This record gives sequence, C-alpha cells and structure tokens, in this order.
Amino acid sequence: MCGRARCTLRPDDFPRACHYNNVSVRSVNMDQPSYNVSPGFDVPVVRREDASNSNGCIVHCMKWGLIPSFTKKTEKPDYYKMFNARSESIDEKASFLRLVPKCRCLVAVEGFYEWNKDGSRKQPYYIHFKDGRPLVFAALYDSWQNSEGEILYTFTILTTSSSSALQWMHDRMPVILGDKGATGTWLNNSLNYKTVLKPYEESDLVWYPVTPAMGKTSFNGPECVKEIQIKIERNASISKFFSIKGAEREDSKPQQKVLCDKPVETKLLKGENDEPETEKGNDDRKTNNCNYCQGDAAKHQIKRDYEAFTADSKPALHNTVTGSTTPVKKEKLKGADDKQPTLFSYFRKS
Amino acid sequence: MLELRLVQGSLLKKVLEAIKDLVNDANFDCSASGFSLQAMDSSHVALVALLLRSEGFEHYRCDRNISMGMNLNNMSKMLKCAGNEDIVTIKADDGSDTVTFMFESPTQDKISDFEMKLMDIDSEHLGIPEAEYHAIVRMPSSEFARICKDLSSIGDTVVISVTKEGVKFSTRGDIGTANIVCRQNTSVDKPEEATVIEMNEPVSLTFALRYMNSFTKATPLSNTVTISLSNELPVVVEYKIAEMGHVRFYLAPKIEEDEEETKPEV
Repeated sequence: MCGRARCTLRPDDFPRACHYNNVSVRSVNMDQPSYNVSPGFDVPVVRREDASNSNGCIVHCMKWGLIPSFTKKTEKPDYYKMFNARSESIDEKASFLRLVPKCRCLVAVEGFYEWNKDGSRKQPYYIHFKDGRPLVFAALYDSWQNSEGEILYTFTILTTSSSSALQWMHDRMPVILGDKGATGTWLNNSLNYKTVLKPYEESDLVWYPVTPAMGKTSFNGPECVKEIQIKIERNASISKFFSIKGAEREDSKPQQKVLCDKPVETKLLKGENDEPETEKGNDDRKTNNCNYCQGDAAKHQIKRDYEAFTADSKPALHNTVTGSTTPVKKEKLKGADDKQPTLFSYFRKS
Repeated sequence: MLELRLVQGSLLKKVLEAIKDLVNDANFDCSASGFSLQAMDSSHVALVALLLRSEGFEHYRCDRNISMGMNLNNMSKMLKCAGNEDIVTIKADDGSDTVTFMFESPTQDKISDFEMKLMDIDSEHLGIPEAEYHAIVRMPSSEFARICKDLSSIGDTVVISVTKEGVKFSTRGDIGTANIVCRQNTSVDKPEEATVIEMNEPVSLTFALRYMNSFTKATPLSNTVTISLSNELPVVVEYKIAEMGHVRFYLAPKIEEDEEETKPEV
C-alpha cells in the first residue's frame, strides 16, 4: 500500500524527476508543497499529451485517488476508495483496465510513508532514495465529470508486492520506476510496459522511522520526515526496575541516576561486569567510564564524592548483568513524541 | 463450562461503564479464583485491571480457565438491558464462540437471555509487579472526580504533588492556572469521607487529564479512591469493589518540559 507521501518538489522539478525535459506545464494549481500528502490532494503527474503519437509530455495536476469516469455525476468523490491499484490485476478490474492503454502516468514524490504494524501499534517509516533524488511511481489516471460539469482528473498509484528488503515492514509497495528506461517504458511503450511492474529491489531505497503523529493528515511540515529513535524491545525486562523497589531504598536512587544516562549504562554493560571499582582506572576503558560517571555526576549536581557514587551503583551493575535490557527505559521515554511515554516503558509483556 | 451468578447485577453494569471508554475490546479471563480483565487503551498509555473474585459471586463455576474476547461497547449495550435490581448470570459453554448474559428480575417473573458473539483479541498482557509506592492517597472518589473534571476545563495535564502538607492537584492552561490542595482529614463522621495521606517521600508527577477523567467513570463503584504514586512508576488509581475485588487504572506519567526535573533528586 502507499497512501501517504512527501511532495515538496517545485512544479518545474517534476519533468526532470521523470527524466523529461522541455515539457509543457498544465493546470498546476497544486496544493502547497506538503510533507504529508494523502489521497484527495492535488499532486502533479507527468502524462503523455492527448491524442498524439509523439513523445510529448505534460505536467498535469490531478487529485490522488481515482474517480473512474463512469462514477455517477451526483456521487460525492471518495478519494480513498482507489488511491492504489494492484499492478497484478489492472488487466482484470474494470476501473483500471480501460486506463492501461492510454492513461498511464508518472508521479514524482520525494518519499513515501509506510506503516509497520506490530501487534496493535503502528510505526510509520519514511522511505526515500539514499541520494535524495525523487521517487517516480507508476500510476493510472482518469477523468470524471460531476453534475456541475467540472472535469476532475484523478490518479491511482500502482502497487506490487514488497521488495525483499521491505517485506518486513509491509507486504505491498508502490511500483517505483528507478531509471529513465523504466519511466519511458511505462509512459510510452505500449507493448512492454508490464515489465516495469515489479518490486524495486535496488539497495539505494532506504528508510527510517518517523513520528507516529504524522498519521494525522493535518500534521505537516519537516517534522514528518524527522528521524526518531524507535522504541525497540517492547518485551524488555523491567522486572529489574521493579525488584529494586523491594530492595534497599538507598540503592535505588543512584541506580535511577545511572539509568538516566544511557552512555554510562552501555559502557557498564560492555566491560565492567565483575569489577565495579572503576575509580582506580588504569586502562582506557576504565578512565573513560570514570569520566562518564563524573560528567554525569556533575551534570546532575550530585553532591557526594565519586567513590560513594560508584559504590552505590554496584547493585545496578549486578542487575544489568541479569536484566540485560536496561537502556530501554530511557530510550522509550525519549522516543515518545509529546512527552507521554507508554506503559511499555514500565511494564513488560507477560 | 462457565457459569457466574452475580446477585448484584448492577455492579457489572457499573464496571462496564467504568472501563468501556478507555478500552474498546478486551479479553475477560476466567479462572477458578475469579473473573478478571487486563487491557490497555489504544495508545498504550493507560491500563485497566479488573478483578472480581469468585467469592463475591453467589454461584461461581469455571471448569477450566478461559479467556473471552469481548467488545466492551457491545457488552455494555447488553448489560444496559438488565434492570438495576436484576441478578446477572454469565454463561459460556466450552469451545463456544458466544457468551450468554441472563438477567433475572428480583421477583423471578422476568428472565432475559442475551447472547453475544465473542471475538479473537490479541491481548497484550503486561506483568505488573507489586511495588512500594512513595505516596498513597485515599480520598472520597466523588471529590477526586470533581477535581479532575474541574481541572480539565482549565488545562490538559494535572501535576499531582504529595507533600507532608497534603496532596496538591495543579494545572495550567491558556486562561490561567489552578491549584487544589486536599489536606489530610481523618476527623470525619463517616470513614469514607476521610482523606488519608501516607507518604514515605514527596512525589510530584504529571498526568494527562483526559485519562484521569476517564478513570473517574468508575466513581459509582466505590465511595473512595486510592491513588498510589511513585516518581518512577505509573500512577495507580484504584476503586475497590466491596467484597469482590477492584478496578485499577495505571497511567504512565508525562515527562515534564525540563527533563532534568523528573529525575530523582539526590
């Protein structure tokens, strides 16, 4: 599926993105450049010029979400009904079949979003080319006349099964036309256009997690494509965190402190399992750790000497050995976007 | 075979009213010891844990542990068809994909059967360890509901601070700020009107009022509410169900603007 994209290209960038120069631009009354385009938005597409055998192409602004020409004039257009078309079955579905010969087009976006569903939570990812060049999707368009006589041009993005690299995220992906050959074939070749309808397997397609807040179409701006720290390891054992409560109180506080600074924690995890007396550090690792702790201490105005601090953090060390997933807490807290962590930061699944 | 007969049927209605806004679908787990439920809201920020112990039922038969997935809204619709004085019996056959609610009027002259389809729900059961809390506040549930309602008209979040002085609920919004302090007060005629504060350490935590307000839907279940707070833990808002069990709500605290503030002071 592909139902959300970033479309912040300038209108004159579209032909170039699709490997066409010198094309005329028609009705580019596009919406503002948007980081969060969904069906119903005006998006420029590149299509062949009407009624010609020439390779003339134009940029034409159409709404995303196909409204077939045979839709009742009085019907309210529903752009979410057909914003994608399965490339495997465009020859079978009446809505698409008619469009295949003459109404193929290209859609250029900077990237698109896909959600990975894990249990009941969904994590969006932003998928784009490593070098930042626009993605070109294979699409079909149609026109429909409403009861007022207005002609509405709409398009649908073709999908295919996901590439092997993206399979884990979602089982479908848009048909990405990676080079000039592919865009040309889709737009102009009346015989072999089907050869391009396949998953994009090259390794220059990359992705990273973004804020779930972009799931709302009203959420827009560069924040949409800002990489976030994903909340990993939901099965994290935090029983350690709770078992501390039962133990002596004095111990629990410094341990929190250590927890709060992830670098310290990971350092500790790496090396210091069996020798917590880091204050007499000789080798690099130890001094390094030392600095970390002191830095940490200074940062939080811990008014106690360093030795006391390390002594107190001993229980933490033992626990990290058994618990093994300590950094999770902090990471999750950081990851939550509006400062509201979920319960997974505190309880583990049973 | 499962058969649970609850004389005070209205209690089940109240339970549903208390949780159905927070959770859409949930698995009810029945075992020999009781009828329970644990579910999170869709954003995984809040959790509800219900326990109705077997002893509280007039008749309790549960041959083997079963988990029944129900849409709480639909269940609530059915339970609303029961009169407040009705005796409610929950029945399910082994391997069946339905559950039956039977309502008997107190005079036994009207008996209704409602059969509801069960659903398959992936439950995300969390292990909630027993914890010692820094502060435990017990207060009249209606008072707590009133505070949450009032504060939510001013701000989105509530800061709950417990000190020796008492418990303070504060909020801040576009129009201004609000602070409500409840002092310990044990010299009341009725014990349920008391405000009791047990505190080992001062705590101050921020929560989304939206959830707190949702929790207060459980107010009809109990005259008092117990709020347990620790600086590093989700708050527990507990409504006891007399002689039967409890409804507990857990809510993850919000992280304050300045992250340093939420770190425990040394």
